[in-house]
Amino acid sequence: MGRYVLRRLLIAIPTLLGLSLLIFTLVSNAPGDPAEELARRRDSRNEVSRADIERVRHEIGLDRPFVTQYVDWLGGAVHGDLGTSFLRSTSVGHEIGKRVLASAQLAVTALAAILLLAVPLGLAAAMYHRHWPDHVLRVLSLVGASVPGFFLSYLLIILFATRLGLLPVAGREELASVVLPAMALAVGPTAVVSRLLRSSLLEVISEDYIRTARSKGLGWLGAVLRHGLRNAAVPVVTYLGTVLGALLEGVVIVEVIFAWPGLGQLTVQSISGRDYPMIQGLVLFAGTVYVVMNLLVDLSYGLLDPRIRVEAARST
Amino acid sequence: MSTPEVTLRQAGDAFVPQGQPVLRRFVRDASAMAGLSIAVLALLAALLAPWLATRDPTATNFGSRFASPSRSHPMGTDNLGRDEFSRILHGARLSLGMAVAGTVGISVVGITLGLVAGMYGRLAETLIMRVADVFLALPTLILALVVVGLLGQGLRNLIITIVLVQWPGYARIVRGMTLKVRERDFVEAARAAGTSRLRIVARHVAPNLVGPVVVLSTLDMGRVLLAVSGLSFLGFGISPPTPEWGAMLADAKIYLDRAPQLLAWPGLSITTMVLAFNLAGDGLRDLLDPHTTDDGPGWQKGRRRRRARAHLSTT
Repeated sequence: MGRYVLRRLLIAIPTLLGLSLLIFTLVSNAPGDPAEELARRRDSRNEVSRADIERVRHEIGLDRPFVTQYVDWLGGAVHGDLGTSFLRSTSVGHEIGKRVLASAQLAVTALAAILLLAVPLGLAAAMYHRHWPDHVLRVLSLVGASVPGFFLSYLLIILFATRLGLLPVAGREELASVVLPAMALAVGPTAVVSRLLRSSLLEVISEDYIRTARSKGLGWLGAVLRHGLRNAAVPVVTYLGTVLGALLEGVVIVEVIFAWPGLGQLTVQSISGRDYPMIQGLVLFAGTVYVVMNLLVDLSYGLLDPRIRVEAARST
Repeated sequence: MSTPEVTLRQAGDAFVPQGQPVLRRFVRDASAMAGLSIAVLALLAALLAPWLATRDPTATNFGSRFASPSRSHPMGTDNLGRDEFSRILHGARLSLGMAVAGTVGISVVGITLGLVAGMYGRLAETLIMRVADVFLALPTLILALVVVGLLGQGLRNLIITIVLVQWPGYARIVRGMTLKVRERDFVEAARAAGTSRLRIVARHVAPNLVGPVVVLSTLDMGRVLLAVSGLSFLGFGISPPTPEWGAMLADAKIYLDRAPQLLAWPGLSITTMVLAFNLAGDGLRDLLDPHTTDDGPGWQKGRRRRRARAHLSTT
């Protein structure tokens, strides 16, 4: 187990290095001159001379060869120093640290909502298989999986904020602020997960051990909850990696719409403002989070189904 | 929503063209047919937009801003008095055009690199798959955002970005399928008969990948449309006044209270098209693999599986 985790983390290192190199290459070939932009930004009169630009270029180290820049940046990153933001003149690491909690709060709330909604919906659809609740849920999940997050966000705003006046639409001042953005994030994955759980449950309830449990006098729901749910969860958990990826992506758009002060908003602002050190840092951070998340998902199979754990241990 | 890996887990096993019955089964699949019809109609409407649209999509008329739907403006007018119906139609050209172009690009690049990785030994395989890993180390939309942000706005850059961030999924799947097909007897026979490797790839391996890749790209058309319109929505796509669904939605958000219908038209257009692509793709997947045990985001599998099982138990 420990060796497996270690091996997975070691494999991730060259991948993340490649990712940072890819972004570094893109940045250094991007149209526009960051030194000039930075010089203009510092000088409010907007009259910057060639010499000013060159001074800034030297100051931020862009006059050095590409390889030197990359190696220096990498050396800093290893020590936790991701450089200084062009836009904010704070350190990149500090800014990410300041915002990570807000994004985590949003993503965790959404994940909790997905599980809290998808499990009962999937159970209901399987229980009333081919009856009206199943049909209604089929249509809902079909639509829910197809509606783009940015459209859904505005539908939620119109319904819950403009019309009903129940929930705040922007910022993170109140606790209730998290509700709408988390809902906007949760709908799509909930649609897919409840559908997966339904089909997985339908598969499981024809198994012998469920019939045994039923014949011992347990009701349908009792038998499924006690004996079926855990087995039915395995294919759902395999999908969880995709859900987490979708949450990371969704956070970007949803944070922009709801003015949520997290990493997604920071990402869009940094890209629009060509804040290269910040983009680099955010990409490295997001890549690391993604790798670790996928590893945790893979490890969780073992908790649900010990047979998988044995195989993983053997394969290392 | 679905990962390519989940979608086509079993596709490499076999794609056996089954002739008539397959086609009949697809035609009987009501939701798949509905999806396909909507997709075809919308693509036709997009192609014929210059003739179908009643107005110039960029012509402003400040006299009739935020007009309600009427005979002359079937969907009303927007904040600059432009005809919303014409804008939606012309928007379909861009939005759907980019989705189709992006999907074709991804398929071509993904199939080529997947085939090379699967057929041409160690070095090429290691190189391609490690590069694919790098691209898969970030969720695609985030990578796309960074890439398009750095490349700069515009139609061409948007399509390049979509292809750049999505090919690794295809390359992985195609490589996996290639490795399986490569071991089949007919490939062995061709090799024994002295057929060149290039000819084996072109005549014996590639044709077996067509079916699964068509399914994959139909299912992905919806995802690509979502990605393209999402990037446009964030302001990294097409610049105004050109109508594009994501950008139209972004324009409409300021008038949320005054004219929510301006959000609804492009929003519903995107939703309907993603829905149509998903339905058609699910139907196609059923054709290739009638014994699917993985429902995925499919909506009809349960029925088929039981039918298949009943069939097995009677034989």
